[in-house]
Amino acid sequence: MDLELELNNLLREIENKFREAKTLLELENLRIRYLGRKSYLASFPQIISKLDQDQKKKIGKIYNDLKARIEKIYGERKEELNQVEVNFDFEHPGLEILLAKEHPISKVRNEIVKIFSSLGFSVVDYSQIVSEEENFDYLNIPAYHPARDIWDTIWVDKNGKKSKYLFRTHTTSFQVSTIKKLGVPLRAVVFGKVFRYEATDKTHDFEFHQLDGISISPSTNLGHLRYVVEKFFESFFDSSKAIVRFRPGYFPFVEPGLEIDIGCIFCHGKSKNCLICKNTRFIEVAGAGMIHPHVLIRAGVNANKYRGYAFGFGVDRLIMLRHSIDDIRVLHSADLRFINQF
Amino acid sequence: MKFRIKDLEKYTGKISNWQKVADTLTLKSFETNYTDGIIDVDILPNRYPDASCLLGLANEILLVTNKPRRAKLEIKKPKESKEKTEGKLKVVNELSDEVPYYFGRVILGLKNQPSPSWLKEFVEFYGFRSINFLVDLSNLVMIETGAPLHIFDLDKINDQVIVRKAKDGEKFISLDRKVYNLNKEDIVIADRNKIIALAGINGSSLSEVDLNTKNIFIEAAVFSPEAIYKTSRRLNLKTTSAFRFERKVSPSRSRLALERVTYLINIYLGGVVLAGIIGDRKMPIRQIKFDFSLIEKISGLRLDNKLIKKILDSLNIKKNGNILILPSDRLDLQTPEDIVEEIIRLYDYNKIKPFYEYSFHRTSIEKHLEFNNLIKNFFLKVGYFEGYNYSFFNKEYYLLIKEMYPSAVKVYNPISEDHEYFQNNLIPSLLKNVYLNQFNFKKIRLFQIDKVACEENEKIVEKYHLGVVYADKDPELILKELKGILTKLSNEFNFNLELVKFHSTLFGKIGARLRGLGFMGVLTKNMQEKFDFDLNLGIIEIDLDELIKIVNLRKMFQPIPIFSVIERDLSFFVENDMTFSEISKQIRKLKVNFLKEIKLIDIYFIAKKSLTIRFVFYSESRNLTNEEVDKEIEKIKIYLVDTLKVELR
Repeated sequence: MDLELELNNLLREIENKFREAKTLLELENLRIRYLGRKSYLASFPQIISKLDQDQKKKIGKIYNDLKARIEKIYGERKEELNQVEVNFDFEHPGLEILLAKEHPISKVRNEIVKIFSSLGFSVVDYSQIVSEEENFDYLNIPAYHPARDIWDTIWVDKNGKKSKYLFRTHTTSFQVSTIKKLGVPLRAVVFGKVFRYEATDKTHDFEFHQLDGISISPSTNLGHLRYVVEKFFESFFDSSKAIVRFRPGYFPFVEPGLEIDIGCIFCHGKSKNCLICKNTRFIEVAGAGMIHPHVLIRAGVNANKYRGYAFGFGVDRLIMLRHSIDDIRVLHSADLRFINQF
Repeated sequence: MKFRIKDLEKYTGKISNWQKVADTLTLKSFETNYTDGIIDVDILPNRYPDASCLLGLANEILLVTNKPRRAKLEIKKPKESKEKTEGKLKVVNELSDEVPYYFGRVILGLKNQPSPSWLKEFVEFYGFRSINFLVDLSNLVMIETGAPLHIFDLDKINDQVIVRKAKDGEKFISLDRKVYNLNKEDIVIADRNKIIALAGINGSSLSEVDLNTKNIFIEAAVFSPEAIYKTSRRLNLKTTSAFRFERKVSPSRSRLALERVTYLINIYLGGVVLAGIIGDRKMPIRQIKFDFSLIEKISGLRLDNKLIKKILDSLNIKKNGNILILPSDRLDLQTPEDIVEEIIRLYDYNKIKPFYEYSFHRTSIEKHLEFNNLIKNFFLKVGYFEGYNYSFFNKEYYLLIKEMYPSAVKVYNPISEDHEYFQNNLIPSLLKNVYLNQFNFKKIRLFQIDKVACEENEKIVEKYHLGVVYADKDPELILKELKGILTKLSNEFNFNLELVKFHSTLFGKIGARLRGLGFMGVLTKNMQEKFDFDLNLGIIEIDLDELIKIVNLRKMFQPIPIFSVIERDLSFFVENDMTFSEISKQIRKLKVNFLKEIKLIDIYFIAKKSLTIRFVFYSESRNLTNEEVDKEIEKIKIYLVDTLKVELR
């Protein structure tokens, strides 16, 4: 028989078999059968070696080409069988995946709690409905004092009359009872809703969130306050160095009283038209000071031995600053189109 | 408060860079803005007595810009007549506690006239209507000194001036000729037969000065801030004078104002000043014991004594050992801490270095807050978004849910009718949240954790509640998902969940009480219509203060099965009143080998009630064969069919 014809027939046979193989295992068996050491094809070099010079050269070339072709077909088929049967365009957007989100306010609450925990503060909880004493009198804000006008109050009703309970106008109302309960030395923060009898607009709401902190020990001073404030704002705004500025301020429950500004996180003092800091290079973020001795005394603390600092800030404004939210009412909504963004 | 710099410069001298002054004031005293010849200063409330006027603010500016000069008012002691003031007008102060200082002077034979343009312009800039020369001068002096004055037409005063409390129901006629009803808390200035001024708040038209006025009585007084506050708020009569008295007026400034206005009147309007000041007396010296180590204790700054002395001098505080003698107009300086504040603000607050203070104790997080976070994470993991709400709702919501949550805290002065109650449950807020989102989403899954309040035994009690809502088309799907979530929750937090059917307006019959914890249900069609919902709403409300008491958060390890677990499901029809718990109880009484667990997989209704129950078999010692399990299942089937009369499917 013509060797050349035989080789071509063999090629066709192997090619068909390989193409018909349905699994990788089937293909492997075919490979052993047709390309293995004991295969018919493997015996060919011996046959060729016995041919005359011309034939050897001619058939040898055909054999080599054939072998290369079979191996190529084998490789291609193997690759084909290796694939999962699917038609997929990688431009496909993928399925819509539902990822449930927490509300940014509660997300930030946890973030803030974590920062203050790492700074050695305990995290406490306190009532939203408090007595007039807790909210005002204990904090050196007596009745019939204009300082009360700063905090327009929503009161609890008692048989149609104003009761002695109110919806806390600031988280500072936690101070006296918390110090009494936990004792000194103490470092604690409280977070939560506060309420004001106030008209709402883009930057004001009648319900909003504050954080108040206190630190009391025999050695506490304003330098310690500065450290905590700097570290907090560095963490919160994720910056390596927060520029913190103290200014005189007045809150009846602290003395000295301070306003705390931070360097503008938007223009970093470089813009001539910054809408956030209005070119003042600073943003007012917190009130603070050394706890007034009268407040400490009311909490049963020896004010000759212990001193403490206190600070408080509006959390909503910080969230709005950090995420460029321009309307507090959006922040205070459950619109999923809003929540989904965080 | 706005001031013209041309007025301030009369006291400070010429200043070239007012922007710089404004910046310095902001850092050392009060937040200040400067534009076009005007500075706007946010005077701190406790600094009103000394700084809310040209004299005081000018002094503050000189102080913070390190100028040695101090502001001074031009005053020359008037040439007094021989006639004594007291001889002309008797003044009786019945209220020495509430009116500690009541100074006065009498000027006779002056000639009042309309104000010249400079004065008119001045008072108008500072927010007053120009009335006439006399009145405008008294307002000018108030702006200069911070102390309110009042000028009476002496000829309209009947015989004497009495400082007293009003009688209940006594009438006061204001300068605007409005009539006010007074009570016995109000301080008034009266003569023999009428009230001639509401002390510290407003004069009366019955004694006002006009262009015909020739003889005057000038009052410079210090009234109790509290009394002025009460009267001014009660009558809703808020005047500049009341505003200042509420924030305290310094007696020395008051006396200074009297002398200044007397001087100016004398210059511009002539007249004879009678001899002596009514109520004149020496001001007490205010002093305080001061421990200088307090500066470092409070600020962490170590300042040298020379520097401290220099600052005290600049403040006009005299040091006598550890006693400090305070300037008479700085009423805000009361405690040693106030002195420290003065020293460090004038030195530089921003030289205080940050300093780490070691922890005093192990920090803790309130248990409830941690628990709330666990609940929150659970709901996020099962695909619920966290909503948000305001804490108040209206009466309609309150009444609607009253049968589930009867006690609520009512608001005395609600922001609006929609905020009459403080929330005692979260359902209204869930409804609002769904309403807001239903136009954009067809499936809404939300939860909230927030404080609610109610009254228990006359006491207000606050609790944390969990509210969950799932809004979708198919109510069965909603109920199954919510029940699945509750079951998962009870497994995850290891507590017993017991549902008891509960009929309510909100849910109709499709509602249940979660015993001891709360409620769940699907809103009735009526409610859907009422609140304008396109979707069905399933709701869960749980009292987390109760839940936290019964959960078990510590997980105990259960050995992982070594041998294979075999499960068999049986589906069958039962009578409607037959329950899974009863069936399961009965089967447990049978002697079924290797039966480890009986689970209810599904209940549905196709004409009849159908149950699918899963039986779980396991042996601790070997792998069970199918044949063995088949034998046991057969026992169960026979019991179900023969005894319980179920119809296997």
